Amino acid sequence: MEVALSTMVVSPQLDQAAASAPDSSDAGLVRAARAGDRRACFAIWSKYATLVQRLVWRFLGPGPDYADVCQEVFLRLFKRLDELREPAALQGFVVSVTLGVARNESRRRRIRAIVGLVPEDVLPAAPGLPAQDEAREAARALYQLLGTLSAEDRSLFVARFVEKMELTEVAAAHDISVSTAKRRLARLVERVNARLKSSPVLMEYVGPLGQGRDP
Amino acid sequence: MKDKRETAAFAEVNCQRLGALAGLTTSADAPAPAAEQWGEIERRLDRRWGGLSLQRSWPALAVSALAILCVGGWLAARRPLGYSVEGCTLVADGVFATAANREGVVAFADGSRMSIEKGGRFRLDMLPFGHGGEINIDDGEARLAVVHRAGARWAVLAGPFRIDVTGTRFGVRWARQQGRFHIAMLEGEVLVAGGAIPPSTHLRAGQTLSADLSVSSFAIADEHSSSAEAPHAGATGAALPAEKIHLDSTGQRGSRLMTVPPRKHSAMVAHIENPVAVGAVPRSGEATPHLAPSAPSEPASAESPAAPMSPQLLPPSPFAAAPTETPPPTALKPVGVHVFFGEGGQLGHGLTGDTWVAGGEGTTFSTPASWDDRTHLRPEAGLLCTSGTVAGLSCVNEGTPRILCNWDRNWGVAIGWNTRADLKAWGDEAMGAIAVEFRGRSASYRLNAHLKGDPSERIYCIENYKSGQVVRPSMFKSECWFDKGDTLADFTRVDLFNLQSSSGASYVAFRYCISGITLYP
Repeated sequence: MEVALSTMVVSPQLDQAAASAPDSSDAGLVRAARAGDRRACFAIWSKYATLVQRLVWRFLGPGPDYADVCQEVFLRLFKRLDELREPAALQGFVVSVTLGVARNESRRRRIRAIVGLVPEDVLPAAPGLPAQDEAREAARALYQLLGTLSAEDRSLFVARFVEKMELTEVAAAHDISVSTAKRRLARLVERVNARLKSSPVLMEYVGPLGQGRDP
Repeated sequence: MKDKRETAAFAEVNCQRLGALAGLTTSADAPAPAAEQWGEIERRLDRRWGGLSLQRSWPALAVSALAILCVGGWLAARRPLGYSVEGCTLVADGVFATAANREGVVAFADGSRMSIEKGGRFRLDMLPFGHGGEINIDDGEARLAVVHRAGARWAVLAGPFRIDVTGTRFGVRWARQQGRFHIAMLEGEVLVAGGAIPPSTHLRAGQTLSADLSVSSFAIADEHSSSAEAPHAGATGAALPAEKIHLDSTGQRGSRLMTVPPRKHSAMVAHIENPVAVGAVPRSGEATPHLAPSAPSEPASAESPAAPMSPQLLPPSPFAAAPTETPPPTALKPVGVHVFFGEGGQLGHGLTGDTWVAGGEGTTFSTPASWDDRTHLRPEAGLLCTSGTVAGLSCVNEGTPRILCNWDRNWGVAIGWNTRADLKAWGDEAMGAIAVEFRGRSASYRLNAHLKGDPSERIYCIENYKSGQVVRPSMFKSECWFDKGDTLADFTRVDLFNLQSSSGASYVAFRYCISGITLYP
C-alpha cells in the first residue's frame, strides 16, 4: 500500500532534525554520549582533544607515542562516562582521566626502562621543544628530573606548576582532599628542589634559589 | 623560622619556573589533533566498547577467557527447551495459527502445556540458553499449564500486556481488534503488567483480570470473595462481577503433530525432526495438511522433545462461562487512551492516520523487507518494528567547530504516524499529552512533531526521548538539539509524529520497535 503524502512530508523535517548537532553543552554532550550517540562522542573529542594532547605532552614530554596515549585517554573517558556524577563537570573529568592515563603510561615506561626495552625518559628529537638551545637543554634536563619522580608526583607537578591549576582543581583531578593535595605538593616541592641541585643545567636556568630569571 | 618560610617560598618559585619551562615544550609547532586520530579512536571503540584493550589487558583477558570457557561449557550443556505443536499451521518463523475449526496444542519438553482456541495466532520465542521462553499471543484465547522449575523464565505477551509466569495454570484471552485482555487464574500466581495495569500486579488462583485498552482501564475480580478487589492505587478500573470458572475436562486433540527439538531462535524449521511423522512444514498461508496419526513419542523430559499431548494436564477454558465480551467497566475516568494498531498500519482509538517508516539516503532496511521509500509499516505481533543499517556521516572540517556533515541527506531512520487519515491537522480531537513505548538497541532517539501549514523544514522535537515518557506540547521545541526555541502550545495543529534514530559518525545497525502509543487528556 502506497503512502501518498505522509512520508513525502517527513523527509525534509527529518533532514532539519538530523542536520542538528546534539546539545553542545558539556552536560548535553555527556547525556547524548551515554545514550550511545557517536556524534556526541565526536563532539567531546573535538572539544577536548587539544587539552588532552597538551596535558599528555607536558606530562610525558614530546615523544613518538603521545598520540597513542591521547587515544587511550578518550577510550577510557568514553568507557567511564557513567561514573561522571555531574555531567557539566566534564572538563575536570577529562583532566582527571588524562592524568590517570599519563600516570599509567609513566609507570609503564619506567617498567620497560627497567627491563631494558627502552631508555627511560630520553627525549627524542621531536617538535615541541623550545627553539633556543639553552631552553632546549633545560627542557631535556627537566624531563630527566621529572623522570626520577613517582608517577603521582609527576602528575601533581604537571597539574599545579605546568597547568597552573588551583589547589581545589588539583585535588579534584587526583581524587584526593585539598589538605592531602597541599601536603603532597609541599613534599613534592622539597623533592624537586633537592634534585634540582644535582642538575647544573636547570640550576643555571632557574638561577640562584629564589633569584631565578623568567624563562 | 623566617628563613625556613623564605626557603619554602623560593622552592615554590623554582617549581613554578620549571613548570613554565615545561609549558614551553608545547609549542605552536606541535601537531593539532588530526581527524584520523578520531577515526582510530572510533575504530577502537567499536572493537572494545565493552572496555577491554587487547594490548594492555591481557591478565583481564586471560581471566575472562577462563570464565568464558567455564560459562560456555555450562551453557553448552543447556539447550533451548524443545516443544511439539499439534493442530497449528506455521505461518512464519516461530509464528503459528490455529485452524478456524479446531484448537491447537503446544507441549513443551518440561511438561508445560498450552492450548490455543481455534482461530488463534501466536508466536513462540524460546530462550536460546536456559529454560523457558516467551509466548506472544497475537490474537485469541490460550490456556496454559506451566510446570514450576527453578530458574525457568516464562512470559506470555498479549499486545501491550505481559504476564510473568513461574508455575501455574491459567487462561488468557486477547482480542486484538477490541483491545481487550482477560486472564483467569486457576492455580498458582502470576505477575501482570501493561496498559493501565501497574507493573508487577499480582494475581493468584481464583482471580481474574480484565483490561480494556480503549478506555485504559482494568479490573480484578476474585471468585472466592463476593466483592471485587480494587486494583492498585492509581488505576481507575471499576470492579467487574466475579466470574464463575468452570473446570470442564477437555477431549483428545487432533492427530497432527509437529515435533520440534531444541533450536536456535531463528532456525526452527530446519530442525524439525522425524519428517515421516511430521510431514512437510506448512508454508505461510497453506492449509494444514491431513496427516496420519503420528507414532507415539517418548515421555516428555527436560532433555527430549515433548511427548504427545496430555490434555488432562491442560486447564479447561476458564472463559467457558464468561461472557463473550467483557463488559466494559463503567464510571471510569480514563487515564490514557491506547492507540490501536490496525493490521494494515491504520491507527485507531484517538488517532486515525497511518503508520509508516522512512529513512535517509544512507539507510538500508532489513525490516520491513519490502520497504520502497513510501510504504506503510504494518504491525507484527502488535509491534511496529524496523531494522537495518545507517551509513556513517561524511564530514569536512573535522576536529574544528566548523565541521559540516551530510546530516540533511543521511539523517537516519524514523517510524512515524499521521494524526489523521486525511492528513489534516489533528484538530479538536487532539489530546493533551502523548507517550510512545518502544524498545530497541541503545541509541539516542528523538520524538518529532510537525504542524500542518508549517514549512516542511520546521519541526518540533524532544531530544533523547525515553520509552514511555509522557510529553506535553510545551516540551516539544523547535531547536531541541540546543534545548531551546519555540514550543508547541497544543497538539491541535500537529499532522504527524515520528520517532527518529539518527545517523552517527560511523556505520551503525539499528533495530527498534514501537509497542504502544498512549494519549492523555
